[in-house]
Amino acid sequence: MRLYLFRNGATSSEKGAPVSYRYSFEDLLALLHGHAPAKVDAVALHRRRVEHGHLSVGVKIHCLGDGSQFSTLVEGLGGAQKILDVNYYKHSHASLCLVLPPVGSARSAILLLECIEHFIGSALFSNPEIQIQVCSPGRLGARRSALLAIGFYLGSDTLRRYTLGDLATSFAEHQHYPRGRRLVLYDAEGDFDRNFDWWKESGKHRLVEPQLPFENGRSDLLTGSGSRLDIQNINLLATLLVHAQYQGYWNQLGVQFQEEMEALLERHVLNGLVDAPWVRTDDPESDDDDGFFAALQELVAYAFEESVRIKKKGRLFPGWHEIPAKSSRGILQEVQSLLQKYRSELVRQSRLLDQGGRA
Amino acid sequence: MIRAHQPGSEPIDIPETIPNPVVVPKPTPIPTEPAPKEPVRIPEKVPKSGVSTADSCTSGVPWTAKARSWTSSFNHGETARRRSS
Repeated sequence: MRLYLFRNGATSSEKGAPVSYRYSFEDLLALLHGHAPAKVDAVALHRRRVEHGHLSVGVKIHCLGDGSQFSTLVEGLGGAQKILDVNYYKHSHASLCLVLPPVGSARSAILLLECIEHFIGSALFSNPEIQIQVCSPGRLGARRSALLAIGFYLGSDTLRRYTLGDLATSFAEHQHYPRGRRLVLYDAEGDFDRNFDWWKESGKHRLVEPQLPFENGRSDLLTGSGSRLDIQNINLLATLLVHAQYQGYWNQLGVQFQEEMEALLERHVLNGLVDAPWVRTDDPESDDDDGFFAALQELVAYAFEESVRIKKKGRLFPGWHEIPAKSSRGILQEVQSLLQKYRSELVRQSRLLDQGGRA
Repeated sequence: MIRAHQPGSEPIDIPETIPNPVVVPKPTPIPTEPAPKEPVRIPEKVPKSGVSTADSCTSGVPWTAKARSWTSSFNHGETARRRSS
């Protein structure tokens, strides 16, 4: 109740400008504080703190059940009419979609979700009734959106099968903002909080700008039943790809990641998947849910087949996983290694910068 | 769970999700607040003379005026007996 009641540094959104969540971050934290004081204090303290130049993170919670576990929270924030009904967007099968204010890092987003878990007394992570949508600032082009979705899918701790209906939202066929049924969804030009640090490259130096370089625009990912790892992976993938697209400080690293990811898909003869319409853009040709879904199904089948192969291999050779990984280790292992490599490299270069050196 | 059934064959259940076999599962934190920290234990106040409160009754005796060390505390009674004899 203490430090988040002061208004210094409040954003225009917090100063009363309309926001899609229609409640203040402070009100949310004050409500959650009684159930998880230590975590709420940590979120309040680091809300706008960006870690190693990663992108900020927004989260939407779609509840596929009756949503009764959220009723006290919703009432506490001003009631369903104020905070839920104003938001037309939600998963087609959801009873409610709770939009959370964006935070500076995946760590804060996870903490915030944990605070809500404490409050509502039920799980948000890996809960089949809860669909987590992770929002990243900046619209990615079609090809990079494909890499975001494929990287998320193969890097997740859960391999999922989908039906096209699983990806339907109230904006799938929207008149002005048709988003189709996809894993990656653009925003609908609503409110956008730019007040997070953006690392920009200026000559040989890093320039930290206090605002994101986009006035609007997001690339969201419908994780389905999501995990902490999913949020971390999406944040890393989006950071690399958005920096590659908008010439941020991690541009070079992002381009390198993109090349490695495409080479990886090529080795598995999956490079054609990237050409499918993974996101519905302004391009009329991207209006092809079936084309996207065929690509997704091919990816899903490949991943499930490999998981079966790994399990069989595990039974025949109990110590197989201890063998040093080579190029033949399979797409799931390769994606894990790739994500780990770029996660470490980004942090390593960032720490070098902090020590005064050039990354 | 998706139930696949082809006429003439046994229906099979296809799981909608399976764990990614290459991801090492991290122990999921239990969604509870961390236990309150152990109360900070404040060490007993040491008198300025360097003599512990336990020695205060003998503080007038010259050999107890020194700050106690591990060895002196073990030898304390023995040394005392030798010196007084």
